[in-house]
Amino acid sequence: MNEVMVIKGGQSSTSHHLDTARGIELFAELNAVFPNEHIKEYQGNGLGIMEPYTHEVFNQNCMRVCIANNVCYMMVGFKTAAAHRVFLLDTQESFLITSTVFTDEQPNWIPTDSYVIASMTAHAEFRNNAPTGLDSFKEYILTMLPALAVSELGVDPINTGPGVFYGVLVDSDDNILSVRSYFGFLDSFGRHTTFTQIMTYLYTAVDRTDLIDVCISGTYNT
Amino acid sequence: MRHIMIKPFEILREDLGNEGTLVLYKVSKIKIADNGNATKTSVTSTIFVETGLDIEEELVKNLIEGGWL
Repeated sequence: MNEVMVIKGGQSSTSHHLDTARGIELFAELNAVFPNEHIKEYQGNGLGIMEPYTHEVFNQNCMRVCIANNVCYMMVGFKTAAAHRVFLLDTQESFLITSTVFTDEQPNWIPTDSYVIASMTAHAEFRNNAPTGLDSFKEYILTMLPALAVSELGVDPINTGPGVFYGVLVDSDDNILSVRSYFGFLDSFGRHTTFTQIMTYLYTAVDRTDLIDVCISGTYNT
Repeated sequence: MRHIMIKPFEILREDLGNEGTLVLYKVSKIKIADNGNATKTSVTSTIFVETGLDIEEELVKNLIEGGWL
């Protein structure tokens, strides 16, 4: 789970553990719009909730809540690196996001010397209203040197650095819709994790330890 | 949250008869305890759907009435 997300243009959102006072407060805000959600179903696994932000595709306030990977596996039937539910506060719609380790051929639209480590896919939830256009975009998580994020993605230098991941939202024609910087990753116990630890965890989970060296070689993220 | 599965049922087999279809299906739900532990329960059963009715709609209606969804 990342601690902070900064969207190119200046908008930012901080994640709070659901066992903290701020996390509980944020969940109460969510509950005001989605009264059927129960915080106890999310607590106990080191999960977090993000402060409201304006979703770049749906252009409305939303909140994002983590789901344990084992719970997500029960829902979708495949392993995830991370899973979230996104709640659109204005229209009372929601959807599920699964993040999976990216082991396909690298997309041709990414900047040279960057590397896709994961991709996110949105899913409609059974019997819950999903927003129109759910399949019109996809988010890729890229790693790259800070200078490249500045020159190729237009990220503000202050939002780059070692261990920062970049979420790039693209439409179905691979046009970039938005760029996000993800900072400060925590494990399920709320401890800070390093870039190397995250890579090791992700690639070991899908039996692709050969990709660990590719990513931690220093080419993509130092 | 136990209801947010992408699709909580799976149709395993359909036997078409003169007056409708006998459907063998599996339905699952997730129960999350207060400590965050999750368990998934699955049950396999059958439903007879009369000709002209939508199988998935009838199945969902039946599962809701039965308290599964």
